[in-house]
This record gives sequence, C-alpha cells and structure tokens, in this order.
Amino acid sequence: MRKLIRVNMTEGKVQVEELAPAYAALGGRGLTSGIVASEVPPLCHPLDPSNKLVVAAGLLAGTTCANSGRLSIGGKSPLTGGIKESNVGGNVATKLGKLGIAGMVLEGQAPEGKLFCLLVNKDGVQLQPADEFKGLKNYDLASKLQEKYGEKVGIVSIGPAGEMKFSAASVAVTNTNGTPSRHAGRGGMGAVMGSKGMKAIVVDDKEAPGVTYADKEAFKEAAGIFRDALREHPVTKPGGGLAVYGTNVLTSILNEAGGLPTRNFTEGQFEGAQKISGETMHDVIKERGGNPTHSGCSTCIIQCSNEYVDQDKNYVTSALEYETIWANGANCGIDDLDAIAEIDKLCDDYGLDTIETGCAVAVAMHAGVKAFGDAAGAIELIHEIGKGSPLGRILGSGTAVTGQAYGVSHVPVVKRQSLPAYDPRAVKGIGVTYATTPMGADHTAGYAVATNILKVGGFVDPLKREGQVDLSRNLQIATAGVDAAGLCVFIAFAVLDIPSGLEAIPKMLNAQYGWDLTLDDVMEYGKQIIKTELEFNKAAGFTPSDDRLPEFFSKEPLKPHNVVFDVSDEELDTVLDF
Amino acid sequence: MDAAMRITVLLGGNLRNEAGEGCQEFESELPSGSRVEDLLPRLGLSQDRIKMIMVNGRGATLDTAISEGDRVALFPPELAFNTFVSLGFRKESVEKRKKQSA
Repeated sequence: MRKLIRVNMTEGKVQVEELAPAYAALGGRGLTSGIVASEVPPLCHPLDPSNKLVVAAGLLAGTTCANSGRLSIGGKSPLTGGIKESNVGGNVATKLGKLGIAGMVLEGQAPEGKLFCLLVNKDGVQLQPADEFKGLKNYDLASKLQEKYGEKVGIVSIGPAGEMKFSAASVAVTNTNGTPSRHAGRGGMGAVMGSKGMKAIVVDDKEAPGVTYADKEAFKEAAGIFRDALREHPVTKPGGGLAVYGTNVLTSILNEAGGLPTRNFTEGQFEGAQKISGETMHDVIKERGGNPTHSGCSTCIIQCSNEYVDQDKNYVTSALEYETIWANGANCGIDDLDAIAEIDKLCDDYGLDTIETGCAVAVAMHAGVKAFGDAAGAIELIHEIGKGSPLGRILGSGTAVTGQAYGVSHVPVVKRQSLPAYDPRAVKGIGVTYATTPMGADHTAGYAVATNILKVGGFVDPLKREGQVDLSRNLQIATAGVDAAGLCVFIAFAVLDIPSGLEAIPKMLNAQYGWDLTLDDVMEYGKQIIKTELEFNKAAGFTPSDDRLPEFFSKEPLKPHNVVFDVSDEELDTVLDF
Repeated sequence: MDAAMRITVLLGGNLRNEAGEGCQEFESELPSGSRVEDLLPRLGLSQDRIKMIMVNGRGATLDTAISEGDRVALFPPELAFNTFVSLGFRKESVEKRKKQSA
C-alpha cells in the first residue's frame, strides 16, 4: 500500500499514513486534485493556513517504465484563484515511488518568519528548522543541501520569489544532475509552499524498498513495448527531433504557421525567429561544447533537455525550453539566445515561472517600462523581481497584475494566468484549451497544436473553428490520464501513432496494481479528474464567463493570416460539459 | 521553357544540411506551374524526408501548386509532432475518413 505524508506546519508535526481508500487508486494530478477538492475550502485565501500544498508522484513512479518521472504539485492557486496542478520532471518522483510514497501534503502554516526543511528517506520523515537558508536562491540552496545530505538526493525547493509569496513563483525540482532547473512553474505553487514556511523537501532513496508489482513479468513485457514505441517514433527516438533540438524545435514551426506570439501577442511572426530557433540553438550549444541532448528527468529516454553554455563554455542553464525562449524572446521582441539563457537561469535561481515572468515583462514593455527588444532591460527587470522592489513585486505578481498596474488593456491571460507560446487566433484548438481548462491558460492541458498544424491524418485546420471543440475536449481528457500516470506528456507523440505503445499503458498499470483497466477506463479516469477540478472551481466562484479568452483575440486580426479567435461562447461552454 | 518563379524556401531541422544549404532560409527558382513535389529533386531531398509542408504558413501537400513569391517550408518526420493526440479524436477521425472514402 502506498503511503501519504502529512506535514502539519502549524504544529510542526509529521504523520505517515496509508493512502485512504478514497485516494488509493489516485496518482499524480488525480491525487493532487482529489486531495485539494476534498480537503481545501474552495473559498479560502490561497496563502492562508487552510490551503494545502500537495506533492504527488504519478501511478507509475519508481517503476522501470520509461518517462515515468513526472511530479504533480497542486493546491489552490494564488494566481488563478482556482484549483491547480503544476507538472514537473526532475529526479524526485522516481525516488518517491521507490520509497513507496504516493504523495506529501503540507498543511497549516509555520510561525511567521520561520522556515523549515523536510527530510524524507527509508527511515521516515523529519521536519527540521531551515532559517539558515532564508533568502537563498535555488542553485546555492541545492548545493548546500547536497553537501549536507549527499549528492544523490532529490530536492523540491523555493527561491526568494516563493518566500516572498509572488503569484509567479515556481517550485524547483532537481534534475538528474542535481541541478534545480526543472520547475513546476505555473500558477504560483512556489508562493503556496512559501506561505507554509517550507523552504525545501529533500528526498533520499538510498536503500529504498522499490516498487512492488502484482505481476512483475507482465509489467516488464508491457514496459518493453512502451519503450520500443518511444524508441521507434521519429519525434521521440534517440537522435529524434526532441533529442536533437529540444522543445525549441517548435520555434521555426510556429513562426512559419504564423502562430508565434510576438511583442505581447501583437503579431504572429517574429523577424528574429531564426536567431532563437531550435536549429540555431543546437548549433550554438554544439559549437561551444555544451550538451544539446540531455536527460533532465529520471527514467527519460526522449532526452529533450539540454545544457546551455556561454561563449567561454561555462554552464549557464539547463533545458532551455521552447516556452521560455518564446516568452522571454519573441514575446519581448528579443532575438539574443545568450540573453534568454541568462533570463532562464535567473528565473530558475529566483524561483519564477518563465512563462508568467516573460509575459509580465512583455506587458511592461507594452506600457513603455522598457522597449521591446531591450534584452539588458529585461534582465534588469528580472533582478527587480528577485530583489522584491516595488516594481519587482508588481511583475512577480504576474501578467494580469502588471497590466493592471500600468493601465495596459492588451493583457493575454485566462483566469489571470498568462497564455503560453501559441497564438489562439492562428492555432484555434489550443485557444479552446486555454479558455476552458480548469487550470487557466495552459498549453499542456490539451495540446491541440500538433493536430492543428500538420495537414495529414486527423488534420483540423488551425485557422478555422470547425472541429476545435471536440479536439480540445478529447485532448484535455487524455492529458489528465497521462498526468495521473505520471508520464511525460511527450510520450503522446509516439504512442498515439503506435497503437501497441498506447495499449501498453493500461497493461503497465494493471501489472503494477493488479487492476483490470482498459484504455477507455483510463480516459474515464481523466474525465473524472477534470470533473473534480471543475467542481472545485465552481465552488470557488468561477462561472462560464471565466472560460473566455480576452476580448482582443476576437477583435484584433493577427498577422500574417489576419485571423481572429471566433469559436463562440456557446461552443466553449460545451467543451467540458460531460 | 516556362518562365521561372522566385520563391523563398525554409528547411526545418537537418534538412538544410541534407540539401547542402548553408542556412535555413533561402531564395530559389522554379519553373512556373510547379508543385511542391517538383521542388524536392532540386534540393536533393527525397519524399520520405518530408512530413510537414507549409505554403505561405498554411498546411500543404506535395500536390500543392506554387506561385511566384510563395514561401515554402519543409519539415522532416522527426519535427512533425503527430496528429492523433487523443483517443476519442483518433476514433472520430478514422471513422470520418472511412465515411469519406466510402
């Protein structure tokens, strides 16, 4: 039986319990959303003691299944005011799985100004004072914790932005090298962790018992089929698109399709796109002797991560990602990869969501705080956030607050969360997802981009409204299932082209837990998760009017295709009406 | 001989190296009336290296006709993130295509 760790931060007490029957079949996003929906008052203030921060490994965590190392971090979001699951890779979920731990729930609130650190290992769980780490950035913090507890521990932590409880604050997770460069960025989960008084969670899986299997042989067989699918597909295989170019493979594609939001979503193509494209980034990293192909997350065989180095071959940051490069590049009119890499490192170190931060900076640029294209100015603004200056506090509170503070009406948010790197006018399916997912504007919740841009097979024209509602609905359901299993969302690229890989997923779950699931059951499971999240949001005060894109997307035509977002309100209301 | 048209070509991923081009984006000439398919031999690229095609930023196929001043973008299979990204959608689209071909 998997275990749940409860940490009462008010009383400083720790309890390890068996997963309650109601939670026994839940993992990842299913577990975070299940616990938040049953235990957090929907009308609480997200930074008050009654909110909870739930950290959950996926159902397949700790197994030999490839790409099963995703971690879900949930709670009521200070950014959106709704339920949140922020998803992250790194090396922690696999360690928790090996320790037999399904998740951790941080409850209550430590006394004002006090910081703590949680140690989790085979012998149990300990809460320790961590006041000495106050104000420490993620990289220094990780080094100190590794010095103290060993190089191989996994760390979940917050930087100064989380301590200052900024709505754009992320939760950092160490990657396979122990670098705190994987982030649960979205929704301000770092602020919730900061409000609890938890600076870091250290997970040590030395001599961990490992996962028990109901049928080990059957698991081995299914995991092998699943791995073969990932190794076979051109996008996910060794030497494939994601391994060579990383997620930044998308810059050229989205720019070509006219869907790369540029200068705060005022244009769909960026003249500097080639300077920041995945192809260019690959060449730059290779020429300088960095690592363009890196395994950032435990059990990952896709290897979309990279290690970016400067001109003197010094490490700058890891996993320079498409969303980061877009938010702080094209969206700010910046075409300087080195500057974007520095911004990424600063965001990781201060503990900030690179998407929310880049969008907030772009809105500030729109207001004239800095000029579009001013890379040095953008870096200066990130430092203001890290320092907690009045300007930095505005930016650190996210895109919506920045727009409000500077009187900008062109503010790309849904449920106060900034839109990611696909303009919803040129890629309408993702626009439907942005509008309707319970998470606030989120690309991973239902990734309609692929289906919208390729004119083969199940093509849905990205510029037309037809088919977008069904597309987004099905994607959102499937994604919730993938998130619950703790699988990387990129496995979808392979397994949905290779049916045997897809069928292997319920087979692995069945072999591990002794269940009897079919693929349809996994989809139903995804549906249930979304229903639970929608109910929480409704009780928190959300109405259908919150499931809308900002008005300018339906009024201002986007160059070069001169299109507006025209999926009707009535259609949007049917997306998750099941 | 037909009059030549000038077009802009963008090659994604490693295609630029396979075509022996120094950069991702360049200008090229084609006889008027050409289709996307006719561009490939000129670049030394085989059809199996092309999975995603855009002409002027819109999804296209090998049969799509090219006009003067067009921009043609070619992407290889490893860059072509797949189409069937959900079970339900997959079923529906398969059924739809069956109906269409019937």
